[in-house]
Amino acid sequence: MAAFSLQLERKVESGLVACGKFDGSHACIVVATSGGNILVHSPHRRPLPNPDDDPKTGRLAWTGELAELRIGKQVTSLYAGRLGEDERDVLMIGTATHLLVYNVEDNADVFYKEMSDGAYTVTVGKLGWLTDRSVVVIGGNCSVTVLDASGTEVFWTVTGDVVVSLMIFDFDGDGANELILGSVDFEIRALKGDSVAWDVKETAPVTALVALSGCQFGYAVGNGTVGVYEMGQRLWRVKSKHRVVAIRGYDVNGDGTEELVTGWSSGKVDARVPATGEVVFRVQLSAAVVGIARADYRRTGRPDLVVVSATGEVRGFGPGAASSEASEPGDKMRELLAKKQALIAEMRHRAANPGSFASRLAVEVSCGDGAVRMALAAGPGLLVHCAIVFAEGVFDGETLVDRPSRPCGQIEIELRPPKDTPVDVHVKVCVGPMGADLLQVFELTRQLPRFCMYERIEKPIDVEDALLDESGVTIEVAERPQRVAIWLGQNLILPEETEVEVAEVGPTAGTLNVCLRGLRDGKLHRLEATSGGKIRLRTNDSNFAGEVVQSLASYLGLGELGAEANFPEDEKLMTEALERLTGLRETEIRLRAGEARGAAMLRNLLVRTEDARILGDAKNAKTRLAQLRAVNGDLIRDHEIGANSYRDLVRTLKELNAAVQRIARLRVGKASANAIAKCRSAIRDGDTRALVAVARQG
Amino acid sequence: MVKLIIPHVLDTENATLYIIQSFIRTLIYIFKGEKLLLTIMTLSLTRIDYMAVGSTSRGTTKLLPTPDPKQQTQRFVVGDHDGILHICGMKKDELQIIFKSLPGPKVNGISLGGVLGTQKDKIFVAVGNSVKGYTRRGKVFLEFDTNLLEPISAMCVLGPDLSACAKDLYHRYHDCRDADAYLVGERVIDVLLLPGEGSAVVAVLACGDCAVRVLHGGRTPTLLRLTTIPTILMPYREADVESKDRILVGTTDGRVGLLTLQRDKTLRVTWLLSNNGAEITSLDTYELQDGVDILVGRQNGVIEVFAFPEEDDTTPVLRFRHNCGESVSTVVGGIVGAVGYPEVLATTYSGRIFGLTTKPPGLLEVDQDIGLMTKLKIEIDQLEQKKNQQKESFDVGTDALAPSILNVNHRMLINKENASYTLSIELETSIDNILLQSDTPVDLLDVESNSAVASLSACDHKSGNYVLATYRCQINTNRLDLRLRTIEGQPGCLQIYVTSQVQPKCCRRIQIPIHALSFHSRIHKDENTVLLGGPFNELNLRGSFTAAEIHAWLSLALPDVPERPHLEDGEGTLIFTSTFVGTMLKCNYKKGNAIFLSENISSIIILRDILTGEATKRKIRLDVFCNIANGSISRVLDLVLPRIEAARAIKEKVKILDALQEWELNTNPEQLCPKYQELLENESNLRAELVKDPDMLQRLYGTITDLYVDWERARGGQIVTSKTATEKLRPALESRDLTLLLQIFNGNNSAAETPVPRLQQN
Repeated sequence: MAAFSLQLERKVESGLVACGKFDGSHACIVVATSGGNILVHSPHRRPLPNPDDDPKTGRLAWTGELAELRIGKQVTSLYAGRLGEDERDVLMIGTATHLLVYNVEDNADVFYKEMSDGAYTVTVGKLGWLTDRSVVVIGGNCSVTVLDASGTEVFWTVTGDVVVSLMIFDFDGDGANELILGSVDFEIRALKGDSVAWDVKETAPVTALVALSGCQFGYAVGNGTVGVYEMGQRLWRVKSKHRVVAIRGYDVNGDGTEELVTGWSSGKVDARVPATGEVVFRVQLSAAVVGIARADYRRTGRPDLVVVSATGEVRGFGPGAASSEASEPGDKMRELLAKKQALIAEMRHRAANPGSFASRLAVEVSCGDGAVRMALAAGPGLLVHCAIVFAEGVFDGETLVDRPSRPCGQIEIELRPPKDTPVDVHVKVCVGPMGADLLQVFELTRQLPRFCMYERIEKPIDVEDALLDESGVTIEVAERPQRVAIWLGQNLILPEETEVEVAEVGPTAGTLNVCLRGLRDGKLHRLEATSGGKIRLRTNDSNFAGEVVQSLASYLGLGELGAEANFPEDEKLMTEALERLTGLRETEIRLRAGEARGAAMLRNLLVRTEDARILGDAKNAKTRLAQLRAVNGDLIRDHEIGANSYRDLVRTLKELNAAVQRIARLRVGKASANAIAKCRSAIRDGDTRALVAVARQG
Repeated sequence: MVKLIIPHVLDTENATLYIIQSFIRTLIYIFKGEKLLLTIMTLSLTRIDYMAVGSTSRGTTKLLPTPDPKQQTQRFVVGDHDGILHICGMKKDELQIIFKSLPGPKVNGISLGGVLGTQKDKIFVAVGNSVKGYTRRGKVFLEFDTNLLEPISAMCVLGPDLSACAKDLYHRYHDCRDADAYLVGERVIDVLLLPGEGSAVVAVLACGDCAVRVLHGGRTPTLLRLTTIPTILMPYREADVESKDRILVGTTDGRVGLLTLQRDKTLRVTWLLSNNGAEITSLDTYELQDGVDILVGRQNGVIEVFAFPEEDDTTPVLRFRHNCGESVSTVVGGIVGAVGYPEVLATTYSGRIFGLTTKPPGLLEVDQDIGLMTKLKIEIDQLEQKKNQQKESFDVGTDALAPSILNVNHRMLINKENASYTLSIELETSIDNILLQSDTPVDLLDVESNSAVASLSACDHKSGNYVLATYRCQINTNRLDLRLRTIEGQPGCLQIYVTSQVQPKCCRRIQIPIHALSFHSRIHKDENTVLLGGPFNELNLRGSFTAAEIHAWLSLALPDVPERPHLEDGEGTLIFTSTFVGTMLKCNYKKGNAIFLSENISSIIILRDILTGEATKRKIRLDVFCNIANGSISRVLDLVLPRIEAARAIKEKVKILDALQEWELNTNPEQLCPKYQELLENESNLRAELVKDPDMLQRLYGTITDLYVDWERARGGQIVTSKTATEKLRPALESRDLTLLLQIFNGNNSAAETPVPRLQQN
């Protein structure tokens, strides 16, 4: 089945595999090995006629087909692609602090740029809203940076969390590329310039994205799920207990369209039809897959599917690798027999379960006492033995089981979704008489609304003052309060037969006034909407405010929305973080200088020690060694201090980016983008006043 | 640096049939001084599906003989859990059902028989506790009630002799009259009758106490002890001729062996395949291609073909492997699909019958029977209609004859080498999910082979849930293997809720007890293991209990306790060994008095708690005496400390290997010191060892902590929590100093006078 197979004899870091044509015509595989080394394998490289011509000055050192590039730091991302007019690919290597863009053929840097947010994922392509040059997009700590071919920043924006996957892709089929990014906070977003064209919450950190044909793209998340979206709709997904390491589009069965090829941590590689998820190809490697690439490795003119395993095994599959095992004789027969067996089983189940028509399951969802409560009651004469709730992103695993010590007529399950997103819950309830071994299973699916963890309460009189403080957000929408009431009704769990209503008479006529209590923290929030279209949310939770604004804007179909906000606590934290950042940056520079000095001293001492050893000068050698040890000790200590301060720096930066994201989430469209741009410059200048002003006014 | 490797793909997960071209036999790679044997399979078989019946028990498919297999294909007979017996055969290249009986109680076993010297073409079917005889055309010629109290679990027919076993009883009938009987006292798993001298017969029994017994003319049986429980006995046969003295045996740990019955009616193991795997469920011998082959069916769905070795001292070579995804109930060799092409006929638990034929796949496609498929399609259409009718008719009353559904085929087997349990669960239909609940702490371990998504749910200990785990299965999964580890001294019960994917969805609950001494396994007096050991702590119970009562209590605390007590002079003896620690537990009991001996004070204390608890439940007064032997501690420590040492060493070495890898120093080992070079050479072994049991060290520490807690309890009733014990023991354990440990065990009061401990007590 495999078209070729070779062994790199090196352990390869997971996910760090790329393929490029560095001389413009011959495909090479690039992998990252442990200890910050990059290995380039070029099977078709023409050895230079005169070995002395080989430039020794570059970072790359060739030995036969292999070249090694020592980075010396943990490599976090690897990408090869064409940048600018040159038809040769360049290699992009990201670390936690820098991005190196390297020309392998010339053996020279294109540019080396400090990325304070880190470069956790890198991609290259043409973005619809920028000029038609190809650009480098870098995903970092809560931010995305776009650089042009010379390394100049052309775009910057914030995200909710670390960006770990990126893709440049025509998401909506309008001919212009959008930027799709997947982040650690489970979100996939499609950016179209300043605006978010589409976003969705997945069930775990989004680790990989890949463009497929048409408007389909594949995605993988950290809990072992892989799936396909088309135009914002999920076509299918599958989950396995293994982790997805890499996904790639490749036409495995030779039918003309690309399949979604998935490489798993178990060493399995499978290819699925993008539209249905049906597996058409499957192969098992002896070690975990670390990467998949498309490379014309045999020089056939068409790219092969190249799979790299953790032990350095490289296996290639040609186009149409799957067609040979497509249909076996007897497959049809087996299918028919399986169908017959399934039918017989179903009839048996019905025959054995005559009572199943009569029994019912009553369900009620309410909220209170710090949780969403789902009450299940079986009847008549039946007891609930156990209930399994399947939901993603709500529990530690994917299930919550409620099994009372004795079967009982009614059980209540407490659900506590940690995030303000709609949650699909799927419940299986096993019901039967006391002591039964054969139980009926009832299945039900519910969607919990986005703000299910907020309980509507009557306006408490005694906390009125506390709520009157000015923190909150005010937006202007040209909508009647009635529509806001409908939106609220859809997003809250309300007691039976109650609705969110707009007062019609009295002093508050025509306004909506709702008090909410968060079930997670017991905090009170108040939403007021006047007939003039002014909506005011009094809360000191800016995350919640952001969710409300975004949800409301998408419900009302608003593309543009400015806001006035006042969150004193956030402002204080932000100001502190920015002040801390300035200090930390200075420390960083100072420490770097110290480190360089120490290293130089060390080198010097080493040479002297070696000299002393060769000369047989034991006394001198001894003193040198003692000095060496002292310097080494100093260096290690300095390094520890440096590492700590660096961690602080990264944390502070992340905090700031998250704060910017919160500010942006309170606004929609241009207002949001403007706020981000202003924050960026305020942070760069270290101007706390400007930052606070942006937070308030946008 | 870059090496090309021959492309080889062995996709075991692939459910569809895998054809490996028949080329080359064995390649020997010389790899870092080690010889790596790669076997390339020499047989290529193609799967053809024949039909589907109800779910089946083991050994319920047989091939009927045919006068001339060169001219004619063989018919096969299969009985299922609905009690339906099918006789089928190929006619005009099409599979036809020649006979189909009415439904009834489930078929437990099928045996072929006939007048001695003629072909075995009479079909004997074990249903409940009776045996029915059918001719090859389906005519009933015999209905025989064995009068056994329990349903027949194993049956064999030889000429006029019929033996039927139920639970621990063996019974033989000659011409349907009682001939002899023997109460084995252990579960009889399989029985085989072999012709003896003259008209005598020899009965060979596979028993639950890891023994194969040979019954011969009313004398006490001779006995062959195996390391694990035998699951199947099969006479070696060449075509229709069955051997009189060569028996194939399969075991629960997946070994296949050949036993030879010697002149003095004792058995000898000729060879035993050492490669373990899942439990053997079916065996046969048949000449598929170039010489006799051994056909093996396993619990995990693997079907294997080995070449039968021509000489006794060589072991068989694997020739073919196929995984059909569900447990195999029978494999049998014969000619079924086409004349001239020998094949393996296999039946699975869910009742799928298929052949693995030597006929090349190219030839199959040409004459693929369209007729059978059309028939099947019509059948499916009819079923759909019937189903829809059934759906509409709401008035289906509670049918007393309603078929039982969702029969879970499950077993829980101990893995002695890493002290854990494998729980395998199988359904006749696809599993949707499995919920595992335990009222006692249990560790769930990961199983590579299953792809189900496992999720641990939060649980409230107050409502009796210590573990609540769900396994959501991928589509078309009929069976699932789980691995779990119990904790000795924490008895309880596992409840497993298996939900099938079939609508209307149902779920079956099964319960599996967890014994208090779950990692003890029984050993037998005749085994040449050292039964000495010691010094022993002694637990003596006196009270007004009978031997049967205390036997029953023991069966609650210990696994593999036989059905009924073996009493010699009114006294029963059972011996166990702790598979994890290696200590002994001897139980001697008779009416009113029971003595338990063990070097491990923890075993004694656990047993004491359980037995006194049981006695209290039954309001029986017990006098409990506990004699502790001071030397027993050093004996246990002697057993455990070297293993702690080994476990630490492995951890340490793997750490070094990781560091070498991190710095990429492993690429050219010749630059490293010899010690590290050696480590790198053994890298894969060391890592495999750690992966096999990553928590080994912690568990060994736990053993010693428990030992200390129990020791304090036994000595003075002083309660030490395991937390304080851990604190107290940690420095001594870290240093692995026996003297220091013994000092702690001997307590502060004797710390001063503790002499240097004697390492060897005997």
